Amino acid sequence: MLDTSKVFEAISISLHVSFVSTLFAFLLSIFFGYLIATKKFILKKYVVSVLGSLTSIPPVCAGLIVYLIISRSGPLGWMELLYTPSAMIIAQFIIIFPIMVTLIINYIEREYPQLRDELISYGASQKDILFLLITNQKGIYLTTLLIGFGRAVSEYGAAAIVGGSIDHVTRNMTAMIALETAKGNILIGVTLGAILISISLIISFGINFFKNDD
Amino acid sequence: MMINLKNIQYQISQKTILQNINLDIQEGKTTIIMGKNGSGKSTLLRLLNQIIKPSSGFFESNLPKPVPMLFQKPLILQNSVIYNYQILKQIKKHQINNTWFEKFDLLNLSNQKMNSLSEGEKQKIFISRIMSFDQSQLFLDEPNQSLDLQSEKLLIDLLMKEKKEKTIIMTLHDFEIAKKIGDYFIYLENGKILLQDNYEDFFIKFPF
Repeated sequence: MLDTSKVFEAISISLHVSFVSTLFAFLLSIFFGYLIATKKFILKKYVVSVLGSLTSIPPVCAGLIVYLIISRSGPLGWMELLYTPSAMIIAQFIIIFPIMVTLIINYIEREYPQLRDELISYGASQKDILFLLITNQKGIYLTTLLIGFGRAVSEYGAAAIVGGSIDHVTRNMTAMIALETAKGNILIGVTLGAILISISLIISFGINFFKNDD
Repeated sequence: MMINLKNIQYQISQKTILQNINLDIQEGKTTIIMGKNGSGKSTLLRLLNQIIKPSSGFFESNLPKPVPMLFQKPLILQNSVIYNYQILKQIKKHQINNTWFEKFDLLNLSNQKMNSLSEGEKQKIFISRIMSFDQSQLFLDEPNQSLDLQSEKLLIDLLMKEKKEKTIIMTLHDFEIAKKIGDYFIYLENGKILLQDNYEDFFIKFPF
């Protein structure tokens, strides 16, 4: 028997956690992406290289790292974040931030020199340049946002380790699919799987739409 | 003299782009910079307009800061034609002169998206954008690129009028156009000035 209230709860937890982690990762990606791409500093090459490598960090490893930090004996254990949605947000952030910031660095490194030279000749301020850099290719930023959200919402390993799949609290869609399938409740698993695939498809269409729009 | 360069070098990432550049740009004259692809024409133009600074050598200019210039790959804003055209007005906060926009017959394209236009139409918008701002110096990097013959002829006619009252510095590949417009000519090869002279002497000495 399909318990719709549980399904909606899992969808709501997934969307809430993924939305918050994506939003934080996006805002920090713009800030750090702009700084890293436009400023010269020692070790810049290595910072970009490390971020590039972290784009493929296995989610379980990200979950493990967050677990070690926020578990009772970890350095942030006193914050009592383990098995809360906040812990899932942090873990998802660690997975998607390198991806989003790398995409933004690549875009700004490609566009900035030309845009800066011409706008400087127009007498533009650094604020004008930043404004046009962000508004000129809105599609790039929206695509980055969608890629980050898509990765966050479909992720299982990290959120399961630090979230603990607690009913009504941290049991998101992916955790519920794994749990219900293991229990033999295939219908719930399939329903949630179909919803997750639909979200992925919508994101895919969104990315293509913004690509074409640019 | 408007701009004076003595023994200028320009390097980027340890690669020498310009070397041993000695040059006087005269006020009120039209100076044409020519040379093959990769010879350093665009870099020299950007250096003359103070967009980039020389790595070494003496540089002196009457201009206190860069002036709006036409780049070889100009800024395309993902928006309407009129937005791209008026962006300079928004930044400079000045009234703009629409003469070139109208002469190039661009009014009917005003509300179209930039990415729906041909390369030639875009180039006319970029040229009009620079010409919309009244300035007595023009820095133009290959202004005739992508233009059809009719538009190129119109560009030459318009530049012939402008040169009477302005200092023009431009890069060009086309010798015929250069001969029509130019007063002083510079030929670059591998970042060095191979030849520079006024109209009469340049084309007598020019060995190619």
